[in-house]
Amino acid sequence: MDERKKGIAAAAGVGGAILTFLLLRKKAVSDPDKAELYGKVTNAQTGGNVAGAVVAITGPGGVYDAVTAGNGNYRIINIEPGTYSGAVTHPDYETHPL
Amino acid sequence: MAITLQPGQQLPLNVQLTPLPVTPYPIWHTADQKAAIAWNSYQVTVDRPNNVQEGDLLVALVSTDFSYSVSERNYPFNLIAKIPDPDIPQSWPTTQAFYRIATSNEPSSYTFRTPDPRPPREDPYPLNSGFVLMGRVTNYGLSPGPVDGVYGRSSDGAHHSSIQFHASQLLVSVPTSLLITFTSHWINVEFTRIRGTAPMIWEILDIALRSIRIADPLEGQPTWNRTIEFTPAERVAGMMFNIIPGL
Repeated sequence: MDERKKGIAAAAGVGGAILTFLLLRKKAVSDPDKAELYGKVTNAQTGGNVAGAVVAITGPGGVYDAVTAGNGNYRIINIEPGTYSGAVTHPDYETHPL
Repeated sequence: MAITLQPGQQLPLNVQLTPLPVTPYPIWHTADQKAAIAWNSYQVTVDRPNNVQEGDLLVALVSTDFSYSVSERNYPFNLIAKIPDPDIPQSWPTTQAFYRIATSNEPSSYTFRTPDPRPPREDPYPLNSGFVLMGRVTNYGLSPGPVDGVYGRSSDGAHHSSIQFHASQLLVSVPTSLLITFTSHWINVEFTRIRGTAPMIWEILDIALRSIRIADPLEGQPTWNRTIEFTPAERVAGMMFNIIPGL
C-alpha cells in the first residue's frame, strides 16, 4: 500500500470511528419509550436551507424546541408521547404552524 | 394541525417557510420622529426618536435663521448638505441635513448649536427660531453611502413669483430610493403651495411666519416627477436628497 492509500485508509478509519461514536452517543441519550421529531426547514421560494429557525412544540410533555443548523436540519429527542401543537418561527419568514 | 407521537417513534417533519415580504425602499418612520424649536438661543435640542435601534439611520433636518450653520455637539453627525452654501449674507433661512448611524448606546437627545457668537447684528441670537426634525429610517443602503444625490436651492432675498424644486434635477442612480424634500421659507405660508404627489409629513409655523415642510413620498420609484413650488416665494432655502435602499 503506497503512502497515499495509507492516508486514505487512515482517514476512513477515523471517520468511521467518529460516525460510530455519534451513533452510539445518540443511542445513549435517546430513550426508547420516548419519541423523536426531526427534519429540515427550507425556503419555500428558493428551496434553500433555513438556518436559525426555531421548531417548537407543546403538549403533554411540556415544551420542546430546537434551532435549525446551517443545513436547515433539526432534531428533537426524548419527547413524551402524545399529541402536540407548535410552530416553526424565524424573524425573516412567516410563522408556520405545526 | 397537531402532531401525534407514539413511544419509540421517529417522525420526520420537513417544513417550508415563506419569506416575509421585503419592502424595496427605505422607510421614514413618521410616528417615531421628534421635533424641537429653539427661541432666542444658540442651540436647539431634540429628543431621540422613538424606537431607535442599533443600525437605524438617524436623519436630522435643521433650519436656522439667517445663514448660520449649526454643528453637532457631543454626538457626531455626517453632513448631507447645507443650503445655501457657502454662506450668503442676509440670506435666510438656512437648511442643513445630517445623518448618523445609530449605535447601541444612543443619547436621549441631540443638541445642535451655532458656532461661537458672531459680531453683533440686528438680532442678538442666531437662532431666533431654529428648528430641528429628527427621524429614523430603516431599510437603507450603505453602498456607497446612505445618501445618493442632493439638490438644493435658495433665494437671494428678493421676491420671486415662484421657486420650484424638481426631483428630476437630482442625480438618481439607485432605483427605489426614498426622496426627501426639506424646505424652509420666510413668508406668509398662506400663499405657499406644494404641488405634486409627495405628502407632507411635518410642518411647523411660528409667529415669524416660518415653516418647514418635508415632502416624503414614503415609497420609492425609479424616476420621479414631483415639483415643490412656492408661490410667491421670498427667502427660501431647501434641498432634496435620496436615501438609497438596502436591497
